[in-house]
Amino acid sequence: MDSAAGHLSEAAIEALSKTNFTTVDWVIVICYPLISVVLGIVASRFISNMRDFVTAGQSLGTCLGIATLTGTELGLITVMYSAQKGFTGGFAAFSIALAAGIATFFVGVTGFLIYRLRAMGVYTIPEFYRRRFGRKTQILGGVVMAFGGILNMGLFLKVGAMFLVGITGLANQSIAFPEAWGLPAIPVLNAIMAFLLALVLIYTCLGGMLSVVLADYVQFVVLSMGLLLTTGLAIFHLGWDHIFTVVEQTMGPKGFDPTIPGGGFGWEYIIWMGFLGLIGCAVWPTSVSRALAAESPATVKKQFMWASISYMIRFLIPYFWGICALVFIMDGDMQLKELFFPAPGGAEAVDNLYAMPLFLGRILPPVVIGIISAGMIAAFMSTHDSYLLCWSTVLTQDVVAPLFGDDLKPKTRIWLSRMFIVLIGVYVFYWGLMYGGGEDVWDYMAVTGAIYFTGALALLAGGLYWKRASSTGAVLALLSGCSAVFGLTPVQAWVGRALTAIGHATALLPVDRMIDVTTSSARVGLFSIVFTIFAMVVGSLLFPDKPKPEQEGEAPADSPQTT
Amino acid sequence: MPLEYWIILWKVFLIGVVCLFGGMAVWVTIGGVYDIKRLFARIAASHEEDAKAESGKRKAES
Repeated sequence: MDSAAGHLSEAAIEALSKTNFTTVDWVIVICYPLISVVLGIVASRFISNMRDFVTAGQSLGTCLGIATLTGTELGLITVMYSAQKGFTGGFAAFSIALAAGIATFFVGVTGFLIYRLRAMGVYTIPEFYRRRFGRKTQILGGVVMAFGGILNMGLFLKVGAMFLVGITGLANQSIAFPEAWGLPAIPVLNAIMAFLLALVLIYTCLGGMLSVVLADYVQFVVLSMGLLLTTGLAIFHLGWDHIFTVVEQTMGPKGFDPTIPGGGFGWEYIIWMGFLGLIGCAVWPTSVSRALAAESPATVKKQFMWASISYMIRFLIPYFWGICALVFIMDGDMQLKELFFPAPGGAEAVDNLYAMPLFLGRILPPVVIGIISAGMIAAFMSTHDSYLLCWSTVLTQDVVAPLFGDDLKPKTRIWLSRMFIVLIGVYVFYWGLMYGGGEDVWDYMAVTGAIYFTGALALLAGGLYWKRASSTGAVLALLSGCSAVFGLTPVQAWVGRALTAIGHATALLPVDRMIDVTTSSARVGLFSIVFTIFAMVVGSLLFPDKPKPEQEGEAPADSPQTT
Repeated sequence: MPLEYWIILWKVFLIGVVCLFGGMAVWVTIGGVYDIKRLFARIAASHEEDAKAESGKRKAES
């Protein structure tokens, strides 16, 4: 992939090419995803209506629910960015895993949001918006959710490619076509990503949630085995006490204590992460869709209580791998150390996202490295399938169908969902290959996610627990959630420039002064939440709902109640 | 909190969560097989009910 490997220096390419990845590992990696396609073909025979396609007949048991939650939320992108956090923050990053675990356990014990949502029997969150706030809110909510969500997954492919570059050593390989064809050479990674994406599209289109759940189960088994095995091998290779000693020598107390101001974390960051943990399980649509697919509200609570372990693990183990990569590089030869930590004024440092896959590529033996890579690709695929299904369903059920007066037949809805799956897949491929934005990818993801979830939290909490919540308050909250976009660095820079220009034009600001509006994404996120809740409360109190006619709140034609 | 306590805390946390996850992985792997069987049985039963309801509706109409 150009954007993933194209900016590497010769020294970096040489360092990345030193891997234990062999032909046997390639065979494992290529054959493994085909299992999911077979499952999709099997599952497609059981799909006859939208309820089966979207929620697997609302028949998920506890174990299958935990497996599919883990499979979805433990994506390759999570592994990569968590490893980066461990690499830069040391053991202090574990506080984020702890916050996520506590938040998910709280949701499991109390059933906060998810219990009542499942009890209502809705398919999607915007469908809840409709029942509670009316059709317009459903459509607006669906558009905001799909917009934020599809943008959010835009860089998954790029980051997945970076993992493959690091672990396989294929930094500068490409496939050349015969000269007569007149086509440029394609990087091998582009071809691999296209292949994987095509497989995900096939089995998601065929079997909907049923095939996603079955694929997630298989992927849970492979992933959990891979995570535990790799962690054991990393400790065996580096030494348990040695890992802690090197972090202490390299980072000092900041590598362990997350409360130290200026250490990259701090209380504000921990609170923001705790909130994201709550959102990640109780509001984020791919996670909520598992709750809605559970066989009963009681199962949902059990599922989330147990999944709190997975929600901790999905951060904890990648953090630990990132820490181990740091120790490996610090222990390694000078050339490797120079790549990631160049002397001031020297060459540009290699993106530290490559550290973890490079480390795994060096320490894992052949075959094991193939299984681990297959597990990571499984994580990549299980995240993609759930996101594709989620956003396509939202567009079909909550945007297109209400616009057509809910007269769409079940088969038309399934066909539409499949069409959206393919279209979103094409976008993801295009965006992953072509996007050349300079901002931090994690910031990009947090901000695009926040566009949706800040408004959604206000609507869900208000709609489920506050009788006076009104549709005007809901619309205001959804629109206010878009304020989260100011967390993006380029947007802050643009606002700063615009305010400076206005200041200069009105002579309120001296010509030699500039307005700097730079602030942390955590602060913008927390402000955005307060802002949406405020909009919800004020909008509801000032503009209460009038009594609505019966049909406004009814479920769509192909809802669980009517199938 | 002194640095030594943080080190102990994160060591215990890592070992504890990894062990819990290992146990849960075994339970979910075995329990998941039973859940898959029940899932298909429930979907098949629901389709049968739908088919019966449909045929009943047609009879009533005719």
